[in-house]
Parts: sequence; structure tokens; C-alpha cells
Amino acid sequence: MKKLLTFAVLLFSFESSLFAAQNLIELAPNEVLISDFRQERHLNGFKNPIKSKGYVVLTPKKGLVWETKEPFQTRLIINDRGITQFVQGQNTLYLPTSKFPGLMKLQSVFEASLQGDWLLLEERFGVTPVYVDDKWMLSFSADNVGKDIQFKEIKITGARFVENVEIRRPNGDLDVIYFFGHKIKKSSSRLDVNGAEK
Amino acid sequence: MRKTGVSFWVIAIFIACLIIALKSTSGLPLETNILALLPKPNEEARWVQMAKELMNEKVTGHVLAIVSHSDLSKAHQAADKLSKALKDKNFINSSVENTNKLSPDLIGKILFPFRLGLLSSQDRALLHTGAVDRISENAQAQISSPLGFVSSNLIKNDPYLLFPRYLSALQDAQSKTEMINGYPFIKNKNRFYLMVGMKLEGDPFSQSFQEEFVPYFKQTAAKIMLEVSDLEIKKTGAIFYAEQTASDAQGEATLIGLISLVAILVLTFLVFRDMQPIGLSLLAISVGVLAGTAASLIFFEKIHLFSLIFGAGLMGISVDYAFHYCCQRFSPNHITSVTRLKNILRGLTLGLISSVVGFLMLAWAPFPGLRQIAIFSATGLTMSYMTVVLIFPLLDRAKSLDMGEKILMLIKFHHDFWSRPDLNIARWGGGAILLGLFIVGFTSFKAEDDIRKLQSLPDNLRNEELLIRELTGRHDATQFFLISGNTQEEVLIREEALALELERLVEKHALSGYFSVSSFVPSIKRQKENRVLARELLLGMNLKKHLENMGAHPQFGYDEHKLNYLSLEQVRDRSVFPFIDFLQLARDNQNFIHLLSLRGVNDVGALSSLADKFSKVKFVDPTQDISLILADYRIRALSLFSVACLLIFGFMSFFYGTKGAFRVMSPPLIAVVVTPFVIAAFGGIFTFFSAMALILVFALGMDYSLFCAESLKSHMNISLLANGLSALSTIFAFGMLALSEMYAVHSFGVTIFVGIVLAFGLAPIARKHQ
Repeated sequence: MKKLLTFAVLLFSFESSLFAAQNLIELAPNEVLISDFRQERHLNGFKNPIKSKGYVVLTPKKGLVWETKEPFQTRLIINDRGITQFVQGQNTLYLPTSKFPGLMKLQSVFEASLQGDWLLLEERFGVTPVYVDDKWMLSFSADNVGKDIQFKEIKITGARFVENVEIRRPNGDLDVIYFFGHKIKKSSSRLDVNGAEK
Repeated sequence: MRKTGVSFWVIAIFIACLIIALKSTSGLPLETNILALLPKPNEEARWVQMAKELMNEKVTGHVLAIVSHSDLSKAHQAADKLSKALKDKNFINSSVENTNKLSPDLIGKILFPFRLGLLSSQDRALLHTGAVDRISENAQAQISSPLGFVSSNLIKNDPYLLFPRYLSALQDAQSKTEMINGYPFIKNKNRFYLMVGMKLEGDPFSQSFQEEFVPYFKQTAAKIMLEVSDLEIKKTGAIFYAEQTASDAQGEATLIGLISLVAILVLTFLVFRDMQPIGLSLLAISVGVLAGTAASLIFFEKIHLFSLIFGAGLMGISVDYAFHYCCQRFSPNHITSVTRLKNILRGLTLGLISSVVGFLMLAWAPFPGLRQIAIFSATGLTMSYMTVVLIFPLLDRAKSLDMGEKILMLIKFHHDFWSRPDLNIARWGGGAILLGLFIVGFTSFKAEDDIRKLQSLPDNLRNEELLIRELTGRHDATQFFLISGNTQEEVLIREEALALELERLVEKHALSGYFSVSSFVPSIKRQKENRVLARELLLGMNLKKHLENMGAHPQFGYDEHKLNYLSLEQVRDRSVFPFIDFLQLARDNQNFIHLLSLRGVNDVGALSSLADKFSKVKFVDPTQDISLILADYRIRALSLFSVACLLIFGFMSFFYGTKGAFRVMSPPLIAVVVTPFVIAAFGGIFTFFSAMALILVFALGMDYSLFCAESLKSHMNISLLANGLSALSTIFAFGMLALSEMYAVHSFGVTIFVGIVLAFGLAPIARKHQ
């Protein structure tokens, strides 16, 4: 029985690793992953959800660029230096990682989730995906990621790629982001994280 | 009479020893900073001087160590170990500076109630142009942005998101630093660089503190590096520069002094074949240097290294006196010590008076360096003179000597060059060569006063500092603005007006940025204006419209009736922005001074002229200021020297008549005028320190001329021998200075070398037609 149990554990581990490898979206050094998104922010005190849409670019190990096209042109850059936001070309927000170390963790969560790097998520945050049919779901709590970012829970679901992210805050605010139209493209200065900052 | 003189001499020596002993309880107070040679500023710039001193104190009183390792925890442990070791020895009082102990959340909570008065410069500019819609759109765009960094709690109390934009504008977008347990650190190429800022407990310019701190720091760092493989500790700070410069300079001065001394001893022994002249020379030198040092310490807190080096030139003059006395042994008749003195007394006295008159003229200059040199030299020379006149005859028991054949031949050559009619062509040839060099030098003559070229910093420390700057990304300009006022509010208002102009210059790329107190805490006036702007343009109907556009609750808004203004005291008391303490140089009653630091300065002229538009605002460019002052004082020193020459000419005319005075003074004057151009002909540059050297050339050259002029025909060989010995000893001593690493000292040495050769060579002109 003991041997059977050990075999089962080993098999599960092997299957899990295999699955992880299968889900990992391999990107060449000069490639980026682009995905369109639609966001709904359900904020306390607001009659309707605040809606926006655009696209997000993932450059592995460099960071993320969130380009919002509607209702306003904004750009949000997340890299190892921190978070920088530009509204209609003007720098409106800068949160350095030196002051907000939790931002690095948030960047890791999104980068690894978008790229399907389950091994990294498990290693860093102790989070493993739960599978239902051909879909998976990841759930992060403040205990996993750290309390210096104000959120209660982050839930990420997807199949081949990430399809949906829900961010729930302690005050009841809820952000839902839908991802679609994923594609892998050659990197360019327009899409690159460093280029986007200029 | 002689007894009284000797008693006075003994008492003077005793007092000099006492003064030096009292002032040197913790080592000789030596000043190596070249800035200390500069004059105190005039009345209206006194606050600027005070601010500079305060800033200097803040900057020089700190050291920065960078501890690096590929493992962050190992670097952290090493940093802790280093700062603990230095703290335990009471060398430093804190190891972590300028770090914000408060969390961003807490800072936000403290400042949030004042948000209507704290507008970012962007929002303020938008409000000034009436662009309320842009502010509303910016807020909506931020709210709709992905990952929702703006929560409904914030929007409820700040629907325009004015506060996050104010806070964000304060962040240094260029900073690459992160924090670990109070240490800022940077990650670069898989290594972690921890910055350990330390405030020194002692005076970084005190020699005794340097001698204790620097070796201990180096030993501790080396020990820690040995314990942990791959660990590196780099350092920077004024104390390291001061210690190494002082030690290099002392080493150089010791070497030069030693060679000078050995050369003098060998020369004396070769000529006199007796030890007594050596003893007498050393006595005259020692008494001169002792008296000069004591006199300088009475008038000044520290002796500048340059005064000591220049003062060492005294050796040339005082040895000159001793040589002239001892050379009387070669008199054709056997004479007593009193007669020996009598033979040279007139030349000796005239030489002393001319030198002292010249040096006292320099003491008039409002220039601490010049004054110190003048006091050192005048006092030292007078005491050397007194030693020769009062003490030498008492000690001298030597018999007369015959001048050897070889010595006589050498002197004869010099004598014949100027006296034999058949050597006219040689004299004209020599004159033509000198004129040629003068013309070539005249066409390529260049004066240089750039302090960066005159004072070289130790390469090893400079490299460490450059590496640290590279890592930390700190490219702060050396230039800055000083703003003063009678109240804190007045300074902040002035600073804001200046910042407005600076913003325009940033747009024109005259500079890349600046760092000021008012960007963090605006003046009350500015906060009131902001509130008025916000109330008139953002609140009321506009706020209602903004909330409707967003679909937000109509009760969202600002507690506009709370009239709270953020003060610097509140910020200071709660250590919200501890780093702005550095910018507040003075905050006493009616004396407030702020520093506005600059980054990436490209157009110094634009910044300098900007300061002229404001009262109580001063643009400070330390390097440029010093260079300008050196240039100014090079001209002033030469002007004073010219006046001194006129005075000496008047004095000499009294003894020799106008023509005679002209003849006696022409050899040193020709040497002084021609030397800079001869040096220029060989590519040398004329500096303030060359000008100072010319003064010494003149003083020594006057002695050579006077002894030639005063010498009896039968004693001419004796005078030329004494002059030759004096010139050689001076050349040996200062020829070595030309090898100095520091360009200032080098140019001093080269000028002395060329000048003394010329003054000695031309000296017989002084008696030619007598």
C-alpha cells in the first residue's frame, strides 16, 4: 500500500510537471505575448461598473505594458523599477518598488500567470492551479503574495492562455479583466517595456 | 647691548617653542585644503559663506561605504558588522542616514488632510490655464486604468485624485534603490550593493581623527572582506581624501626637505671642510622656521601646507645669511668673528629690510594664504638674521681658510663672464638666447587658474568615488542655489519663484532637474493659492459634473472647510521627509537658508544669470568661484608686488642713488620678468602659485645683488661663492618641488628653479659699473 501511495505521488508529480511544461508558453528572447483585454471595475459608491479596454504586452523577464485605448488613452508599465502610469502622454503615477516592494510580487504573479509558468508560481507563492475540464484556476490571497498590496483575493482562470482575472479588495471593490485574442509577436520598440517608458 | 640682544633672542625662541607646543597638543594643525588660501567674502555675502560652511560641514562630516556581494543577506551582515565596529569605537554616531522610517501608507495618512493645498506642479499648471476638464479626464483615466491602483475609498475623499499625483511627482523616477532593514541597496549584474551612510563623530580635517579613523576603517573592511569570500567594500568621503592628500603632501615635503638638507650639508662640508658652518646654517634655518611657525599659529588656527612649502624657501634666504657669514673665513687677512660680521652686516641688513618690506606688502592683501606666507617669512627671516648677527659671532671660533683651486675656478668663470671685455660676444649671445626665449614664451604665454587642474585628487579614491556614483546613479551637479530669508515662509516663497524659472530652463535642457524643500512642502502662501484655485475651479458645480461623468456618489468630495496647512515643522517632527533636512542649512531666528540642489547642469551661464533676478538668492559654482578668485588674486599679488618693488626702490635709492638702486634691483627684476616667459617657451603655464614663486625669486635675487654690490673688490670671490652656495641649495630644494604631483606645487618649483638660475647668473650686474 505504501509503495502504491509513493507511486501515486510520483505519478502525480510527474503529471503535474508534464502539465506545467505543456502549459508554459515558450517565447523566444525577441518575442512578446500580446493579448487584448476588457476591464470592469465594480467600485463602491459608483452606479455602474467603470469599463475600459485595450491590450497588454508581456516581455518575459522585463515586464508588462498595459495600453488602454478606451475610454481614455493610458499606458501602465510594470517592471522591476516599479509602476509608471501615463495618461494621455503625461506621467501621472509612479510607484517605485523600493517603496512598494509588493509590486515586484504582483508583477511576478501576472507575468507567470500570463506565461503559464506554474512551477514558478508554486515555488514563489505556494499556489498551484486547480483544473476543471480543460480549464485551470489560480487563487492568490494576501497571505500568499504579501499584505503591502491592498487586495483580498486574486483569481486567475484560463485554458491555453489566461482568460479572466478577478481582483477583490478588502473594501468590497472588484476588478474583472477579460483577456482574448492572444498572439505571439516579434518585439519592437513600441511594444518593449523599456521603449514604452520613453 | 649684545647681551640684551642675546637675551631677547633666547626669550623669543622660548616663546615660539611654547606657542607651538600649546597649539600642537593633537598634532601640528596643518591645513591641506586649497580653499583655505582664499579670502573671506565681503559683507553682503556673509550668509553665503555661512551656508557654504554649513553645507561643507554636512557633506564632509559623512562617509559612504558600499558593501557588495552576490548574496544579499551576506552583504547585509557585512554592512551591519562594519557599522557596528565603527560605532563601538565611537567613530560614527549612526549608520543609516536619510532613510524614511515611515511606510508610504503612513506618510499618505499624515499628508492626506492637507491635499487641497498640496497640488502637483502639473495640476497647478492645468488649473492656471483653466483646464479643469483635463484634470477630470486624468482622474477618470487613472480610475479606469487596469489593475485598479485607485480604490473607491480614495476616490470618495479625493475624486480628482489630486493627492496621488502630488505624491507621485515627489518620487525620484531615476532612483534605482531599494531598501533592506534601513539600508538602501541596488542590484546590478547579479550583485547587491548596500549603501552604508555614516555620520562621523570627529572632525574629518583633524589630523589626529584621520589617523585613528582611516586605518581602523581600512583594517575593519579588510578583515570583513577576508572573512566573506567575494565580498567587496568601497568607500568615499572627504576624510579619506583629506587623509591621503595630507599624508602624500607630508611625504613629499619630507622628501624634498630631506634632499634639500642633505644637499646643503654636503655643499657646506665640501666648501668649508668643517662641521661648524653646517651647525650654524642649521641653527639659522631652525630658528627661522620655528619663529615663522609660531608667528603663523598666533594669527591663524592652522598652518597651510602651502605656507610651509613656501616657508621652506626661507631656508634659502637664511642659509644665504649663514653662507655669507661663513664665507668670510676666506678673507685674505686673518679676521675675528666680529669683523666677519661687520664685513657683511650692511648687505645682510639691506637684504633683510628689502625682503621684509616686500613680505609686509603682501600681508596687506585680504587673502589668508598671502598673509600667512608674509607673516611666516617676515618673522622667520628676522629671527634668522638675529641669529646670524647675535649668535654666530659668539659661537664662531674658526680660523681663516684658503679657497681651493677648483672652487676658485668656478667662481672665476662667473666673475669673468661679467667683467672680461673679451667676453662681450658671449654676454651678447647669452642675452640674445634669453631674448629669444622671452619672445617665444611671450607668444605662447598662458595663465591657468582652473582649480581642478591645480589640485590633483588621489587616483585610487577618485576611482572608488566614480564607481560609487556610477552604481548609485547620483550625478548631482557641483553647482547649487542658496536661498535665504528672515522667515521659513519667506525662503519657501522665494524658492517657489526660483523653481518656476527653473522649470522653464529644464524645458530648454539647461539642466535636467532640481531638488528643493518647497517641492515637498509648499509655502503657506502657495497652499492658500492652491486651495483658492481648487475651490474656484474644481469644487462646486464642476465637482458635481465630474462625479456625474464618473457615475460616482454625489456625496464624494473634499472637506474644504478644514483650513489646515502643512508646515515644515509638522513634516520634520514626524520625519515624513527626513532627507529634506539636508536642504535646510540654517533655521535659527531670522536666519533661514535653504539649498536647492541641481542635476545635469548643461548651461551654467543661464543658471548664474537667473540668480541675479532674485534678491537673497545666490548661485554657487564652487569650482568656478575658486578659479575666478585665484585669477583675481594672481593679479592682485603681482600688483602688490609691483608696489613693494617701488617701495624697495625708494629705500635703495636712499643708499645707492636712483641709478645705483636701479642697477642693484635690475638682476632680480629681470629674473622676475623673464622667468614666466622662459617657462612658457617650454610649454609651462603661469598660475597663481608661479606668481607667488616670483616673489621669492625677487627676495633671494635681491640678496644676491646686494652682496655683489656691497662686496669689496678683494672680497668679490667670497660674495660670489656665498651666492653660489645659496643659489645651489635653493635650486636643489625647489628643483624637487617641480616633480610634485600637485600642479600648484610643481609650477611653484619650476618658477623658483628658472628664476633663481637667472637671478644668480645676473647678480654681478649689480656691481659692474661701481
